[in-house]
Amino acid sequence: MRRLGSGNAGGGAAVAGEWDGGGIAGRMRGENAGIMDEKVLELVFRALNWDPRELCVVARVSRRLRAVAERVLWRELCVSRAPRMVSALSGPTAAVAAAAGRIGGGWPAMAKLLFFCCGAAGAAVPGHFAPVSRFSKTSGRSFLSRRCAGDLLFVSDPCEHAAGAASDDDVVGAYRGVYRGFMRSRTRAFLVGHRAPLEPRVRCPYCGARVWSMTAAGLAPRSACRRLGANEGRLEYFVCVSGHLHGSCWLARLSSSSSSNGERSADSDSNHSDDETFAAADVSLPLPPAGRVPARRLRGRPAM
Amino acid sequence: MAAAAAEATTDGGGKMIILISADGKRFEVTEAVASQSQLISNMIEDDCTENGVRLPNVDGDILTMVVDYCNMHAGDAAAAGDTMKASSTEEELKKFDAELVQALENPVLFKLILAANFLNIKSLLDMTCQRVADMMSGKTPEQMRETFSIENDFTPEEEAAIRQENAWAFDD
Repeated sequence: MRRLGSGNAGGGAAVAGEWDGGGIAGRMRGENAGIMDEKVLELVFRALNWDPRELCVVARVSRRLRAVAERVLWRELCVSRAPRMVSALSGPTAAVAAAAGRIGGGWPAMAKLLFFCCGAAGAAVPGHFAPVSRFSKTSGRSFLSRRCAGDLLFVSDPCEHAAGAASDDDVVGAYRGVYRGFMRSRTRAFLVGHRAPLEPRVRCPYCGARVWSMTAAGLAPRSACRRLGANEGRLEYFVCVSGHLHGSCWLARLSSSSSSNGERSADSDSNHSDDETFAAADVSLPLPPAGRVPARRLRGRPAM
Repeated sequence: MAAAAAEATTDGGGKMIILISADGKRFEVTEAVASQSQLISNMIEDDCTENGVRLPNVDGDILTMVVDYCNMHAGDAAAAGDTMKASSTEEELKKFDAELVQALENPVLFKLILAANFLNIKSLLDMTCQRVADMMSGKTPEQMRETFSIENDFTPEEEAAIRQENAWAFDD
């Protein structure tokens, strides 16, 4: 039914079909036509503004749709929301990485990292969809010990949750992040070199891989506490073998007399080239004012 | 199928070009109509449309629709106004677009998306993609399978695993 124009016979200007990446064989056999066509899906998802929820549904429809989501759609979602972060993560070999379309841990995990707060298992705080987030390299630097300072790490602002049955005394901050090229990072070299044990019970909430406790490995610098506004020594974070970071901390209580929102982020970087704020959907969600963490919003349920 | 299309002009002076579909059907349209396709517009600029433009990606029946659409929209697109065709009113256009996109069977709709993308006709691409996006929006996987006649080829175990894996976006 579909035929390629037979050559260039009459000398007419034949528009060479760019059969858009990979699909040619399938299309010629009439497979993967219509909604199963990779290009169609990509174009339709652009119209859906790469809605992560729609994508989660589509990936459950069939093997073919799942494969296209994993190969193309998740990546495009990440690129559309956090272009600078994604390009920084692709690293100095950006061209190569982008061409290969790969990122450590895979694009579905990367997308989940962008839009899902991991909560805090230790404080019985469940994870949740996080429509607006801010990640920054400057923040990430606070999580690197001096000997790993050469690594590039993005970390989110802490998402604050009420925890503990008692009262609002206990505020748990959950945060997440991702390394660039973790396989070649100093952090990983140190962990492997010192035979740091993988945690027996904790798994990466983003890719399911095994994790190291950075706290246990002695790689959590004091600057991380300061950055988060956490009580001294009351934080822990993990890094998985694919380079995703997740962690939690007990936050120092803000006294009622202190200035409200901005205080915790008094040291926030004003260097905007370093951070990226994005929203999951194209909706009128209140974006935090530049350079400040979102207003304190308590979430989560009391521990049982 | 020799493409011996001679250069032709209309009485009105608008230059005509010939589009040739994958299955050899030929369409004669004015440059103003054809140049709503950015692809063809570029070719016109590069002066390489004289022997007709072959579109090996686009079947005749789809190209018929595309040409209809471009004819209909030539009025508002051709800001230069060198088309002799009476420009349609905005209302007529809206009605035409709505009827076009509503009437399409899924397979045709998808082919039209690919054609609009290939020919780079932004308004047609946006409209057709939005139509499919509306069909997908807010549906469950099972409803999507029904809407698009997709077979569920997951085993029950796989389906359960995938549901869990993709549940995060709905944890509020």
